[in-house]
Formats: sequence, C-alpha cells, structure tokens
Amino acid sequence: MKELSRRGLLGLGGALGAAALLSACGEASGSASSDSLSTPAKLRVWFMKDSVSDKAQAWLKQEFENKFQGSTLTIEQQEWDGIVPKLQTALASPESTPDIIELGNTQAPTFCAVGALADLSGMKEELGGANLTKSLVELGSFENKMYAAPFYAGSRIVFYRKDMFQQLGLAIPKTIDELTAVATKIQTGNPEKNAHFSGMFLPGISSQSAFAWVFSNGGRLAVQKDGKWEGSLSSPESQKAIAQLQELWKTGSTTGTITDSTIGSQPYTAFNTGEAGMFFGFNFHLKKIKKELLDAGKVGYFNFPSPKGDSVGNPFAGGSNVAISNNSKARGLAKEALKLIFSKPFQEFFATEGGWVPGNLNYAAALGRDELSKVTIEAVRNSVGTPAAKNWALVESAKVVDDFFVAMGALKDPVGLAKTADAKMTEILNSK
Amino acid sequence: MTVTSTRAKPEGTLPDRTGPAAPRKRRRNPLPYLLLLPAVLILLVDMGYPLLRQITMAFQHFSLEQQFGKPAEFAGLDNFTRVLGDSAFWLTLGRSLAFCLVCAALTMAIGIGGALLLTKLSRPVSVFVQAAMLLAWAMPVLSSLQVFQWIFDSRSGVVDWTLAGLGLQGMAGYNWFSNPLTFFAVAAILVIWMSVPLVVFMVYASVTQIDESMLEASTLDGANGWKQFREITVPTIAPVLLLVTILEIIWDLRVFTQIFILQKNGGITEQTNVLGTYVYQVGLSGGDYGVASATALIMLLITLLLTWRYVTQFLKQGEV
Repeated sequence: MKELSRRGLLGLGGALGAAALLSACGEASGSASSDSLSTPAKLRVWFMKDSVSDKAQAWLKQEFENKFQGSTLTIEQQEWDGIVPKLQTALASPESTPDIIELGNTQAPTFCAVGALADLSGMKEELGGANLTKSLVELGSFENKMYAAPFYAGSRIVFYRKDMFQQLGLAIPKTIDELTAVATKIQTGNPEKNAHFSGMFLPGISSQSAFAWVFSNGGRLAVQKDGKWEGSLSSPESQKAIAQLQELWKTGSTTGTITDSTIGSQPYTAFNTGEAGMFFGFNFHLKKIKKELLDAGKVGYFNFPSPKGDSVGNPFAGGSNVAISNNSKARGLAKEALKLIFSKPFQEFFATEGGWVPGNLNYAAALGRDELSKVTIEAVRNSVGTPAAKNWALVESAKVVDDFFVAMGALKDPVGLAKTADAKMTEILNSK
Repeated sequence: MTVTSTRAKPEGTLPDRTGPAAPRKRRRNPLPYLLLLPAVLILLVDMGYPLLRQITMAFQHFSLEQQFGKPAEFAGLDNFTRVLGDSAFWLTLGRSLAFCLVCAALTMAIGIGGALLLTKLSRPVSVFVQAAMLLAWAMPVLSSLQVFQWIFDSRSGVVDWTLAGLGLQGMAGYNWFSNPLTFFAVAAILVIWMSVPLVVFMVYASVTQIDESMLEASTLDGANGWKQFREITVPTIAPVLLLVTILEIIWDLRVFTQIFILQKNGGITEQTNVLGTYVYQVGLSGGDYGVASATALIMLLITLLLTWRYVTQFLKQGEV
C-alpha cells in the first residue's frame, strides 16, 4: 500500500506539474515578503523521505511552535523521484511555495543559480560557519553567496553475509577486482540454493551506487574545461570502471537488469530474503535488515575498495542542503526555524536517529564510535559528488546518467552509449 | 463576476415567435447573451488564458530564471526551429502517431465488437459484463498502472511466470519495460483496456436505439448479419462512431500518465518518449518552458490536422 501511495504522489506531482506548465503561472515577483517575526505564519517544510527521523520532526515542530506562539510548522514528506520538476513549479509562486525545503546536493546548484532561494550568507556563521561540511557549502553557493546550507551527508558501504564468506573461505576484498571475484564465487556457490540468487545486489537503475566504480578509478561524470562543461563517461578512467561493472554484472550479479527504481532503492530486501550475498547501501539500512540475520551475527560491512587496494574507494557523496524559498511569505520566521535545524539537538538527531553525518561537523561525534560509524565516516570522508554545475539537476531529470547505467546493467555497448550520453550532458550543462 | 450592463431589464414577456414573413423590426433581447456570459467567461478564463499564455511563451526565451522572476526575451521563431530541427522530436512524433493510431483503431474495433456482442447476451450476463466494464473504466489510472506493473514484473510477475511455465525460452525474468517494443505493447494493453468500456457503452447505447422493425424487414429481404451491420447499423450510429473516434485519437495522442509512470521502471526514457512526456521532459525537467510551449503548440496543430475531417463531418451531421 505504501508503494501505491508513493506512485500516487508521484503521478499527482506530474499531473500538477503538467497543469502548471499549461497554465504557466510564472508570476514570480519575489514579493516584498514579511521578514517580521511578530506576524504569525503557517510554515510549510518539505523534507525528503528517509532524511529526518520522526523524533527530529516532532522536536522541530514543538520547539518552533512553543517559541512562536500562534505560528505553526507543518512538515510534508516528499519523494525523491520527480522532485526537481515539482520544486520548479512549487517554488515559483508565493501561493504554492513551501517555506523551507530540503534539496538533494546534486540539485542544489541549479536552484541556487536561478534565484529560487533566499540568500543565507548573512546567517552562515550562526548556522555553523567553518564547521559546515565544505563540499555541501560549495554545492549550495552561487557567486560567493550561500543559498542552501549543508543539511546532512551520507555515503554507501558494502554489507555482506559473514556466514557465506566463511562457508566459502572468502576474505573481505581489498580491491575492486577482488570484489568482483568474491561476488562471483558467492554467486556460483549459491550457499542457500536460491533461484534468484545474486552475488552482489546492484541494480542497473541504481546509478548512484555505480558512481563508486567511476569515482574510485579517477573518473568523473562531467569535467570543466576552460569554463565549459564536458560529459566524461568516455574518459579512459570511466571506461575502465564500466568494464569492471559489466564484468561484475556478467559473473557476480544477476541484478544488472533490474530497472524498477523502487526495488533499486531498497537493496536490503533481496539481502533479507537470502537472494544476495552483498549489497551496497547506507549505514541506516542496517535497521532494515532482518533481525534473525543480525542476531545470528551473519551481517558485516566494509568500505568500498579502491582499484589498487592501497586505500578506501570513493563512493558517491550523498547528502542534502536545506534552504528557504525566496517566494516564502514568512522568510523571517523561516530563518528562525532554520536556526533550530542547526542547533545541537536537531543536528545530533541526524546521527543518533538517522545515521547521517550532520551538516555541522561539530556534532558528528554523536554518530558514535562503533565499527559501523567508523566505516560510514570513512566513506563520507572519501566520497565524491556530482559536478557542481548550474544545470546538473536538468541532467538528472532528463535521466541521461540513469539511462546510461541501466543500459550498462543490460550489458550494452559502453563506448557508443558513453559518447551519446557525454554529448547530451555537454549540451545540457552548457545551455543557458 | 460583475455584470456592468444595465440593459438587463426584461422587455417583452413572451418570446417573439413571428417568422421571417413579418418584416417587423425586432428589438434584440439581451437575456440570451447574458445567460451565455458565465459559460463564455469560464471558457475564457479556464481555456483561453492558458492557451494565450502558452502561445506567448512559445515565442519567448523562457527558462528557469524566468520562472523565478527574470523578464523573458522575445525569441521570434527560435523555439520552433529548435523543436523542428531536433531529430528526437521527429522520432517522438512518429512513435506517438503510431501508438495513437494502433491504440485508437484497436480500441474502436474491440469496443464496437463488444457492444454488438452485448446486444446478443441474455440480460443478467449483459448486466454483469457492463458492471465489470464500468469498474475497469472507473478505476483510477494510477491503481491500474500499479497492477499492470505487478503483472508484468520481471522477478515476480505472473506473465513471465506463465510464459516460462509454458516452456518459452528466455521469458523467466524477462524485463518488459526495458525494450521499447514490449514497453509500448504493455502500455497499449493498458490504454486500450481503460478506454474500451467507454466505446462499448456509447456504441451499445446507440445500437439499442436502432429501429427493430428496420432490422426485421431487412432480414425478410434476405440480408445477413454483416450486411445489416454495414447498411443499417453503421449509418445509423455514424455520429456516435465519429465522436468516439475523434475523442480516442485526441486522448491517445496526448497520453501521458501511463507512459510517464512506466518510464520510471524502464530506464530507456528517450526511446519511449511520446509527445506528452517529451513536452514534460523538455519543459519541466529540462527547464525550457519556451521550447516546451512551442512543442505543445505543434502538438495541438497535429491533433487538429488529424481530426479535422472528422470534426467537420461531425458538425455537418449535427446539423441534419
């Protein structure tokens, strides 16, 4: 049922978006919004799914409403899929805009550049200053002004079945090639004799997972040359990574052809049903793993390996920024709410409840000192983001990169398709 | 809504029924026009304004920055030349037309067949079939989409399971959504499944209006079923058939939701774009509202061209 409502929401977003395109309510005037704190307001806050724990949401709502009697704060949970078009239309008018929004870090540059967000430079120090995650500050800034503050960060780690490793006499892989070899051995061994068994669960549709191969080999999705962006999936580094991925999909994973984004976003499901020996997920996915497996000590985790085995690999830098809509009618109060979001209790909730690394690194210690936190922080420290290009969100919503990795998962021609994808990226990234 | 006209006083209590034979100068009664006003206003606000806005935007450079307040520049025919010069547009157009024509033709054929079959069924069976169709027709499109995705799911779908069970090679775990041909096959089944009931209902309703005695007489004259269908049924229900065909073509040409949702499970977005999703992708996802508006206008023109003959014919028949 959850699934159904998710799609419902999506479709609704699409329908609303299409309706808005036709009726084109582009009267974004950036109206003289009330920056006063005395006029009560009904703040609407958009957080993304799996970002902010229920506890943290309740805390924020209560703190805010206690502090500003007469005002209310409502949190509306949003889905990642299709969020960019939704934001494009919602943020454009004072009537429809939420006041505070969470933006995926890959989408932040676009919204910063087009004037959709309120300038937060004035309160940067108050929000954490030098302690704010640097890469996220960069993605949330445009022409030296910060419009979207670092919300939280997270990166994927590899979960594995300890018992299967033991049974087959396998060690934790130190290089990417070893990872493929291990996956292949588990898949051939198929210890639980499962019909759908996959050495590693890695759906083609989960392109953000696949980025780890590209980044660890030194490849990038797009690079800037003389002020112009260029798609970079054809570079020797990226091509090497894709060859490694396709090798894995040939011998160590049966999941390359999975194209359902819902299944892709729940990599633990196959793991729980004994259909996968490994999966590449976030630290907080540990909570979604079946209790029997955890209690029996069958679950372990390790960092994504590097090509040569001399260090930790470079997974994709997941994370979010948080911003205030420029069209908000209550920017003053929204800024106050933002201060609460950057206060110690809320930031620590990210670590203790969500398993994310909080945007203010001063509070990262709350993640704890256990093995999982260590591995996670190590992953975040080595993570690499998508290009900080103004139009990157448009590349994402045109699904250029997603579709490319789906084709790779289906073992299609890496050279030709990379060329096509590069050309498309170059075109979108350099368009005005 | 305020009516400023003060001429709304009712003059003449009885409608003027004198024919053209009486060349008396007659005062125009404003009442009919006033009664028309709300409908006209609603149409203007509801359909006129967006259309006007769309036409304006089609001639402007209108992207995300303009969406957030920057003034738009006049673009002349730039947007149109960009659309028409884009090979992706032409591919999409061809795909859309093919999909639309196949779907509309199959829907009409199945719908008319179903309606005729319905007239031959005993009452309880006919009521049961109609109820089932009504349910299919009234089902929210997102729910049926979900069900279809489950049916065709590559890991646990019943279709793959059955086909593999029948011994068909390579059907176990076959991904219907990652090949353009099978993608559109599934989409077509869904679209047709959802639009057949309406055709059945409308055709059935008009077929039952045909004078029984006429059919009886033709039987006596030795006409067989096919001849009766061609010579009596079709001409009698022609206006309904025309109307439904026009609607089907329009609906199938601008199909959006089904394709849009299925695309999320396909990973072959560009190869499965139809006009609706193409406009959405260029406009909302791509942030280029000007080009998207131009494309939408072209789409409107194509729809008019496709249905023009039917519309004029339909209007002519309406006059008879």
